[in-house]
Amino acid sequence: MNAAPPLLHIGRLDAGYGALQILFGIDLTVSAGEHVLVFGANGAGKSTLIKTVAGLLTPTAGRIDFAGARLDARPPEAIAAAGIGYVPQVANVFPSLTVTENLEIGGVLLSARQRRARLDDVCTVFPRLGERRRQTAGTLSGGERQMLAIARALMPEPPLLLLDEPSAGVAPTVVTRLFALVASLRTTGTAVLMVEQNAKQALAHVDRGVVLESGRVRLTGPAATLLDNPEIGRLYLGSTEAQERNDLTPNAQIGDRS
Amino acid sequence: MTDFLQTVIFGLALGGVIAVSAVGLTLSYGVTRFINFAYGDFLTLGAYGTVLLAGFGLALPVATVAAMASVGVLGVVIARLAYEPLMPRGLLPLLVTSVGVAFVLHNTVRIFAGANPIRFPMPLLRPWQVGDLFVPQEQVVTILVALAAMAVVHLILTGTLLGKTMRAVSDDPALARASGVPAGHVLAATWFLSAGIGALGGVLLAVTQITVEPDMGWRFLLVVFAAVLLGGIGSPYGAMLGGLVVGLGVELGASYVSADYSYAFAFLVLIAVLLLHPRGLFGRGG
Repeated sequence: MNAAPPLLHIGRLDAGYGALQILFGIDLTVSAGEHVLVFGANGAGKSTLIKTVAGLLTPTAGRIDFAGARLDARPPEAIAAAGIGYVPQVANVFPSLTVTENLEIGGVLLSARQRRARLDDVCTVFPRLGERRRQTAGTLSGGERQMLAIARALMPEPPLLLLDEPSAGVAPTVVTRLFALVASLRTTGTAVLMVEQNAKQALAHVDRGVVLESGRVRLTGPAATLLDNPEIGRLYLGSTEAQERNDLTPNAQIGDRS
Repeated sequence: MTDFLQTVIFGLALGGVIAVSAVGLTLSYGVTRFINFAYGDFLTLGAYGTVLLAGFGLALPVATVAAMASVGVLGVVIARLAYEPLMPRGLLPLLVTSVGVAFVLHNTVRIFAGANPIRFPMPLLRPWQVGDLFVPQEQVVTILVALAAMAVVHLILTGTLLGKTMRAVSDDPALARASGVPAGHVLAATWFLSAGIGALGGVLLAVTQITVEPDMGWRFLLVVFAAVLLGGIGSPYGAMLGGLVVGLGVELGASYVSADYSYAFAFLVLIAVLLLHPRGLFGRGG
């Protein structure tokens, strides 16, 4: 797998909001079908990174290559058309549109026939959405919205899915199902670049982790190695003395924001 | 009772005119978040365009559709030249520019068509008489055309991919683009529809008032705003309802209180509704 060029290649990327630089020389790759988790403290630049890849922020330096084409400084609709699905953190559905209409927007670039076929496929994968096709997205629960947002991004079967904090605003019981669902995208060969506060739980479902600190890549490695790294555990995964005594899992406090 | 019904018929016709006009304005607001002050002049141009084309011998419905299409194209051209280059600079420059565009448009009409009112070439129709009630056919035609126009807008918004992308952009432009919605095309389609619907509103306004004059749309814009705000700005269905409420309010106020202040009643209704429901009848919570 290492011989093939990566699906997504981010090189020496600088980005931010106006004069405020958030990302400094980010190097990051995602191979075809690989699931990568970016984690780090609040304000480390995780969401900024995802937004920049999705084209919602323009990088000030560096480049982003995807499937052999240069994508930085391209508008978001061109990046979506190139095959990158994007699920933002909050406000990730079109609230006044029905579930079906949200999915249709996800498949806006498909032919009418493909769109109908994909709509049925997606509703099979997400039966809950299938039951609520005519419901307005604004009336869905946090977990259902997240499912809808992911389903919408998957409509055109993108080779890469960007997920920004998928567990935000979702009940803890649903978070487990959500991560399992994301992990199941391996069967279709969909690569995932995910940003997550709930890093410990998320790491268990991905291939590789990238630690972001103050807008710089501090460390990258296989998920299992990072999970076992005591310093990473202490700093980013909420491993505390209390946890070592098996008292509680501090992450439970993070995921539950519904 | 007859008086009341008579007033309601006129109110519904005026409401239909306002509703159609308000839908066009609110559509462009929903997608662009900017209030196009030149919108009133699309009404004027629609009415004058229809007069002009009917003068060439086109049947009135054909002339109307042709005028709508022409004004729609003009709406796209104006937006591409005057609005879209300014969009990155925020809303205030756009707003001021659109006021300037409005003055250019209605004064251009004045140059070519003169400042005096021109009779709209609607054939003289004998009102239907139902008991003591006189039902003018012009008002009935206006109501029916307005209803048909609103049905078509509804079908476009909910039954076509274009309409769904317009609603998606209205909900969340950044998310729509990141989902692959071609924002430029949606914007162009919105300018076209908005201006074209405005042109139809102008034709209906001309039918109800029998004459056209260069600042008819500019003066009518305030009433259209009232309907848009009443319904909840950006909501097409709200605009339809808002238009009907304002139209009925104007006619009932004129009949039962004082004809001198007829349009003041529109704003009294507006203020009353907004006091109770600040985002308008169909406004989004949040």
